[in-house]
Amino acid sequence: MATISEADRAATARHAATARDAATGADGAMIRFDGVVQKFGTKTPFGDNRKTVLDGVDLVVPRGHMLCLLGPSGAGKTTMVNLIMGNEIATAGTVTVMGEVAPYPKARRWIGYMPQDEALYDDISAAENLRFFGAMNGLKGRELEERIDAMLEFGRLTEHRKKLVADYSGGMKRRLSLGVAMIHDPDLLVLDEPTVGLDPDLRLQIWAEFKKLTKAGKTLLVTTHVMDEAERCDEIAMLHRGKIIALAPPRTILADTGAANLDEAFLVLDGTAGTDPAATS
Amino acid sequence: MKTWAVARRILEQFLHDKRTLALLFVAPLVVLWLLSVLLGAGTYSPKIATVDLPSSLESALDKQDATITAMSEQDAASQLENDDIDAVLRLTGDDDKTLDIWVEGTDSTKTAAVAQVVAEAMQDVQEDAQSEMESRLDELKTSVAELQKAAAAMGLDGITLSGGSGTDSSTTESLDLDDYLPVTSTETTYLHGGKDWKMFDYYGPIFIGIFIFVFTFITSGMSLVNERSAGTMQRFLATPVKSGQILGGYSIGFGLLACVQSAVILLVALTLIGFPDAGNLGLVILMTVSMAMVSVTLGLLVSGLASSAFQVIQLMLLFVVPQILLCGLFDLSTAPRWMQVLGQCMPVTYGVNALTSIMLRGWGFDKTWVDFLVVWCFIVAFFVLAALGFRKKRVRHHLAINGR
Repeated sequence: MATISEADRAATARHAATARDAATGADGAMIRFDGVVQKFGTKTPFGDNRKTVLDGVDLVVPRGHMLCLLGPSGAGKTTMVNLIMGNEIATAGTVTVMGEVAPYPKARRWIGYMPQDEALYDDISAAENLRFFGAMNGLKGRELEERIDAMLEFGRLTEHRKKLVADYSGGMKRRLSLGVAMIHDPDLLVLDEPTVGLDPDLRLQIWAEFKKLTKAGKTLLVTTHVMDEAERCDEIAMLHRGKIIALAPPRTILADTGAANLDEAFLVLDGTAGTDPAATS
Repeated sequence: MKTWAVARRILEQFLHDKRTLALLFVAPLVVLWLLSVLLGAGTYSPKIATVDLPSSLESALDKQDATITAMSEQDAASQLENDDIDAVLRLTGDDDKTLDIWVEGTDSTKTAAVAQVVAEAMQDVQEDAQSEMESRLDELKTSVAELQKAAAAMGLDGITLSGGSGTDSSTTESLDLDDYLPVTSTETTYLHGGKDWKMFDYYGPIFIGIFIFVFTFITSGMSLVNERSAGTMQRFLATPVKSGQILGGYSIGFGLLACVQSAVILLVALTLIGFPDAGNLGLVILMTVSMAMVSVTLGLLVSGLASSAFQVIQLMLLFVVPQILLCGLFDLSTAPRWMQVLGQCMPVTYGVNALTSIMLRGWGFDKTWVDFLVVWCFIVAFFVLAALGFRKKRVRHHLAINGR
């Protein structure tokens, strides 16, 4: 992965001043979950057919942190991402981003979002995809063109800029999708399974890039179901059956459970959570 | 700016998709050409069998635009059964003076053609009979005059023959048939069009309007469904873009596409297919673009009901086909009152009305502005409703959180 260019840094610095206008929470939290319950399905007078996906989640992600949301498929990771993005509304509890609730009239400009599927326009070129999403985020003119070039360079796609996305490989699409999420230089990046299906070398490069972004003061929320990837994060939130069963740096989790790796740690924590009545419902 | 970015992206998608782009222009032209051949052909000349008709009627039928074959009754019956001929003519009645027209009857166009041929032949026969009668009368008149002359020569001055004959009696008792008819011939003056206009000349402008409407509905509906299934919709809703900007971008994008599309269609239709055009082409394009905008806003309004391309087609059957049926393609003047009222509640009706007025009657904006106004009212109404529907999700989120 190419390093972030000079133009990119300049844009970051330029945004830094205005970014402060979008207030963080009173405690400086970028993302905050307060007793969030999310249920799907219908409730009728004849019975409650709702399935509980999130069961009382409390979570705070401070500015400049990289939090890894770790859990098996169906644990509720994507639901949490959708709540943060304002795509869904919690059944109970509150989700705040930079001190605002959905639909984030001020904060939305500073959120970058990469959904689980690529979510790109297959029938136009990479540069046209970047231009469209950049414009949607309010970029225009020279600044937009600079950011497009920077993101193409970031994804090592400069020579493929005029190629239709339909002709891209899976890895190229993923890199472009990440570029689209970062086109407007957001303060908060919400990335749903960004490395799934990527080659190991590419995965390493992307994680290195994430580290660089946190050093530059960005806040990252990354979901994954791959345990060893999570070890690279500052902090891990282990999600199991709609509850956060652990929230600590990876080393602390390993020390507390006495496990050799996160997979074992998860099984240890899972065992204790298994006695919880809500978890078996 | 964001509105333009949405429009630009839609146009870029079409520019890269050469096949769809070609189809947008070629498909309507092929269908219009086929229709012009089908509806532009002359009237149908029916195949009629005759069974033992009098020779005068037989020869009168031969002069008509029809294939007349004399055959036996059994042959005629079996051929009619096999749909090889359209009608059998034979004489019935006590005195064999009633012409029995025995039609196949499934196709009303063919039945009407048969009736037309028989009516014209009957008129010819009657005219022949009339002129024969008149010549016989003349003969009678001459012989009466001769008789009178002979009588005068014999000195019988006082004798007059009953029946109104005589040199001066024609002023009171005419023997000329024309004096008994209030009208003896007709002449038609065309305010618009002309004698040689075919059925297609009337339908041409209607089909252009319908094409633009249907194509825009399908392409814009598919486009939105693709956005939803590819996840790009969710992604750009995560940006600070307003629903009005998204819908505006869609309307402008597809409006521009329709502008180019209708210009190309009109150019080819007027020069190669031979469409009539009596009016201002700019006004025609303005109306087709307006119809495309109605179509795209209606598509945006209802596309939330579809989750696949297949369902877009189903929606088209529900929201577009009734408009086509009631827009003026078929004459509604004999239809039930409620159906006429329903037709007046649909935007396509006004668009098609304006297109026929401009292209066939040569009317200007001063006479068609009401149609334009109604169409634009539909655009605004659909746009506002679609924007409200789009925003509803977000607003509900907002209220649900803040209202607690």
